[in-house]
Amino acid sequence: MSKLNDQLIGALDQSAEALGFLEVLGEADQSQLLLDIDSARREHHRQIVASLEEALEHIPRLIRGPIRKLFGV
Amino acid sequence: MDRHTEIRRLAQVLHKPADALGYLDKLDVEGLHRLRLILQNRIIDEFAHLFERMAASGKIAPDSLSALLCRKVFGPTLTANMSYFTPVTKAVKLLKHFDADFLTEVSRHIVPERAQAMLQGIPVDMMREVTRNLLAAGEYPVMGGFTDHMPETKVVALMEEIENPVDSLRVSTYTQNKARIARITLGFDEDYLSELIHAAFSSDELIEEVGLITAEMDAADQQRMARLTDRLDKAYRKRARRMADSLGTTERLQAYFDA
Repeated sequence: MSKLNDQLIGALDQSAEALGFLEVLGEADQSQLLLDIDSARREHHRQIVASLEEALEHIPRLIRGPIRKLFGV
Repeated sequence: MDRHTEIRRLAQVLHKPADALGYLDKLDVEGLHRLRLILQNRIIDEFAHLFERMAASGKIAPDSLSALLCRKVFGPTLTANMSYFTPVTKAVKLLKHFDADFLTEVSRHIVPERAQAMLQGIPVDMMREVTRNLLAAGEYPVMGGFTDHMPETKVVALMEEIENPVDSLRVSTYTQNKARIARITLGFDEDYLSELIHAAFSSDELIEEVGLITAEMDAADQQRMARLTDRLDKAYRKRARRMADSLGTTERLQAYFDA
């Protein structure tokens, strides 16, 4: 059993107890998992941002700013 | 739960090929499943603040206008993500305004575990064309997830849209609820069952799959599967036995091998 990687705990936004089942993974495997999770989150982020930008293209330029502010983007 | 199925599903979430996840070998199937659910929710909830606001802004708009905005402005990715934060009755009403092509695109982005209530509410006839579209695009992972989380009566109805048994088996490779697939499979007539068994023996992966499905059947039905298998080729069951021995599923298929 390996100690859980703190960054992995942060990436999954769970308590260490909730992720205890991941302690069977060695240090290197936890690091690889962290890399894959970060990559999946970045891909999702990229898709959402691209879709938002595309949606904003349909809206008159003048009101895009207030809409971004309204939705917090 | 089947480990290979879970690895395939997790690989989809991670945008990785399944064979790149060998470093997770020490995790049992329950661990893989928990990891996938945590990760799926984490990814969705990362933008919760945005989608909650977007969904709230559509509360007072008429359904037809909200649906139009989804189709013409937000697009499928944002619509799928908003749906988790939209009251189910409203979400189902909106879906009814979508055409099959748009609904197919939305389906590709839906996490079925988070959309179970919506999947219950969506009329099955709307899903028929979506099923055909997903099938044509080879979206087996999406279909496998829906098969797990849609009401069984709807799944049975949608299975009618899958003519090729290889496609049924491919969907099953991404479906965790093999007992459900077994029940549905037993509803097929003997001609289709024979085609399915014949198709299964075209590749090792599909032999494994039909084995996992058969393992969920009772002894009488396993014996029926054995008779149908022998009718096609007596050598098939020997192949299946070797596969089951290597996967450790022989005991669960005892009636099939003893027949």
